[in-house]
Amino acid sequence: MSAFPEGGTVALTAGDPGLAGVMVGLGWTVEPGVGPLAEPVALAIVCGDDGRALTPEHLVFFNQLTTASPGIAFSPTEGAQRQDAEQIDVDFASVPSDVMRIAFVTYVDPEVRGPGTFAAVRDAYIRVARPDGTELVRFDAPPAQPETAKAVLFGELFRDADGWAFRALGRGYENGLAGVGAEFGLDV
Amino acid sequence: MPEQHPLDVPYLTRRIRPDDGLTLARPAGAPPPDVPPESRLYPAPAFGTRGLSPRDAVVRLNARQSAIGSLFVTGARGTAWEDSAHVTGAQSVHREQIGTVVPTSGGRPLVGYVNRDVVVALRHVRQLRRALFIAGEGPLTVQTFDGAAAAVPGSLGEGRRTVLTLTRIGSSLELRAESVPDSWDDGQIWREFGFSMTIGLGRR
Repeated sequence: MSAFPEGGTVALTAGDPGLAGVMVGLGWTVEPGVGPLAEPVALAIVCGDDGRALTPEHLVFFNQLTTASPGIAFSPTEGAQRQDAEQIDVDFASVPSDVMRIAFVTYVDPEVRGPGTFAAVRDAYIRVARPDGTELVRFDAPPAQPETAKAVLFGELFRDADGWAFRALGRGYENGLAGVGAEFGLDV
Repeated sequence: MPEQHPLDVPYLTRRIRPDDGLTLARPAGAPPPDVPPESRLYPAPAFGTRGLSPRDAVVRLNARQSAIGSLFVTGARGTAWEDSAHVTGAQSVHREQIGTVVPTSGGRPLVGYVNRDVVVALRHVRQLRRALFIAGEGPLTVQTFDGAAAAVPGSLGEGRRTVLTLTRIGSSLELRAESVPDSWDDGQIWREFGFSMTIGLGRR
């Protein structure tokens, strides 16, 4: 296991050619407070070689577990005892060749009663593990401006030569999910 | 509390698996299908900027519209809800309340009024089974986070009142405009739609 700095990359399959897939876990804690709490939601965006979603529907999250592209699936955690708040499974062999990048974003649900920012979100992270749970890499991803960040791009898997690699990002979006949708071409 | 009506039976609830919302009927004794319920739905218009009418009474939200942010309903004099455990409640625009509020882990009720709008907390859409929105004197409008909206007149005919139903089917929400006699009070409307209020489950 190794911690990564923002912008750091690690080759996953180059060092482990037998790695058939990974589990990407995302987690956080929310400071308790009076009134409605921030509710982070993780999603993965399935992108082509232009860095944008293959179609506006190419994302997975708790209410859309798969897309038309196989090999990427949200794993429901409701009722399960897991280390992570949310988990997304990637089966490298099943991912179509037109998928060049899988971006992992967490947004704070834009519910009208708020709060809609990361101000009360602590210990945010993304980690990549083997299917058996063995951790390969972990990135602690607090946004630089949590009081204004409404969504954060935690990291991405991307094709690297004939295999896959991971890049830690930690980029905040003050315009939240709408900004993420505009950048990646999603219909959200 | 409204008088019990002879038709007030949970006629929809006995075929429902807890996680599916409203499940389509299947032959008695048949095993649950492997395919998700969405794939067995008839086609319905997508939820965009449109009006509902007696001829075009149904729209269906996609999985993103059904789960992000708040679903706003403006123009409702009352709402009623039922969660996936069949807990029910109702509230009027004047905050008169009966039944049981459904809390969510974010500290917001699953369905309830915010100012004069009804708001459904879509982060917890999987807790919802269905809801009703009863028109007041004007039109009912519905809006989601992505800006999509629908509107329906408060009356679809002489002496009629519009009731908008919201039903979860798997990962999708479906809106349907219904029409009831204008003279019916909220209690009678709940009963005709199969609601009986859950009393006594509130936090003490």
